[in-house]
Amino acid sequence: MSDQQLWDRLKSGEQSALREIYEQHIDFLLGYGRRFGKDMTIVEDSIHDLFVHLWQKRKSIGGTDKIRPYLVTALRRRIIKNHGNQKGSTSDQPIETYNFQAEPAIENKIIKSERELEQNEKLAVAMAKLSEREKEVLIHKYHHDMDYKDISLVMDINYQSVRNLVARALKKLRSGLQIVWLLFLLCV
Amino acid sequence: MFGKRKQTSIEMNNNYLTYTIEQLAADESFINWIKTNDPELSDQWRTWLENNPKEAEKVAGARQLVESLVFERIDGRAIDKGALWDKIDQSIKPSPETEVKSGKMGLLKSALWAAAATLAFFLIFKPFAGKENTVVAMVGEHMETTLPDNSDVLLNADSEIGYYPKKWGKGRNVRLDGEAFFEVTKGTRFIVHTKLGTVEVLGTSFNVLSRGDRFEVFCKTGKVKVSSFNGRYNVVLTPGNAATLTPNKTFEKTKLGDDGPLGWKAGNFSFDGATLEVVFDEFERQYAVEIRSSESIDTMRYTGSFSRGDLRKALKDVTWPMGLETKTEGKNITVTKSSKLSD
Repeated sequence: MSDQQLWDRLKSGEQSALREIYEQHIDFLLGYGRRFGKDMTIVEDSIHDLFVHLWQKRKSIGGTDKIRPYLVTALRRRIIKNHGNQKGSTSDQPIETYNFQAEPAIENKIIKSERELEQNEKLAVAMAKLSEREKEVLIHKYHHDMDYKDISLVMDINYQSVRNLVARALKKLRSGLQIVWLLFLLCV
Repeated sequence: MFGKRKQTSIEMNNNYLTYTIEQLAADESFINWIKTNDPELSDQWRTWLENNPKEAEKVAGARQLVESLVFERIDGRAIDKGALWDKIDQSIKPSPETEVKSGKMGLLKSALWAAAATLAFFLIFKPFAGKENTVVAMVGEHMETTLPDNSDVLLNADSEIGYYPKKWGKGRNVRLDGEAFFEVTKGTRFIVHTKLGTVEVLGTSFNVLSRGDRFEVFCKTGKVKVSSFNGRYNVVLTPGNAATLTPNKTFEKTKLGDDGPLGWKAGNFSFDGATLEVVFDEFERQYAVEIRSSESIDTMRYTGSFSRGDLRKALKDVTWPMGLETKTEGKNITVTKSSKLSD
């Protein structure tokens, strides 16, 4: 069943459609939500509220042929807001500031050489130096395989800003990695 | 994942010849080739490479970059998904109040509900503040911009500010990542939000730096209130004073004099006992180059300054006093210890 059909079923009041949407996306949403912080109650509460809202307002929501970007956008906004509330900030936070966790997958790789080990460490250091938005944009592009348009919707920034963010993040990563190349050349 | 990667055949256009390594690493077709190893795509890219052998180094660089962009998976296994669904299920059970009754009153009620629902939809799915307006100064460039209230912002290289034009009337809020100098017109509260803290003024001029773990604020004129992210620590600055966030998350106040760190506005970058890592970092940002050095060089301490404009002179101003030699190839600069001095 296409996203479009599933969405239409939800809009016409089939509760099984909500359940299906939940099952299709819950792992993704939980995984993504955890990147904003260790507090799982915030993620759980946000997802709970998101699905309850989706059901209650099903009649008035617009159509879509892509459910996931919609869910991600709504969840992201709720989580950032809830984290802000918890920090005791006054009223609603007018500008998004948040923490975002994105670590390079190193544990799963079989390390073949000293150089590779060093390379991985440099990568982790370079990645940690990125801003939260830079980390998030890389996750969406390279981990979630989202296109610029969807990233722009989810992160609520314009298309060109998404491209700029990606370019800046890649540049920073590359300069972090290149130092290792040089050390490698010097050692040989 | 967001759906199947597009497997459409790509036109191997000549544009790729002008791409930088980063542009290539961000190209959808290129990423697909590296990640999926799709045979059709592979063929196309290999043929292109054979026709353009000079591009091999670029492709290798971009490949390395894409291959390193594999992230640690975070999954939700720790959560009881069934229990969470049950909670949702409980919450959406119809309650008597939401039941639509017949009759005139019912009609009015349902109309109200529909209106509320529509409003709520816009609240969750439509960015009610409109799109954020983002101003970016890329590496190697400075950028000047004017905010809706005629306040001026000068962005240092590799810096970004963002604000919501539609929300501006309700409060002057700006997000900053990087470094910028603000000249704020008199009016209501003006707040700069950064990852590590906020800066609040009524109308004054000040400099904010927010990069990585660094958060430094300098007051040029007027009065500036600086707060840590959790709002626990606050410090008020008067002209010539600076606040720096310390590793234990409190603020250290220092008197810097009239212009403090503002040399960057005129293109002058001064350092007082800073590590070369910090100096090179700024240098790369201002000249859009990449400096390769070793750890023993990065940890050396430098006191002096360089200017924006003449790359060769600036490079010499940094490296010569430290007894370092440089080799420049295009945008890459390699710094080594001078053979005459090293042991």
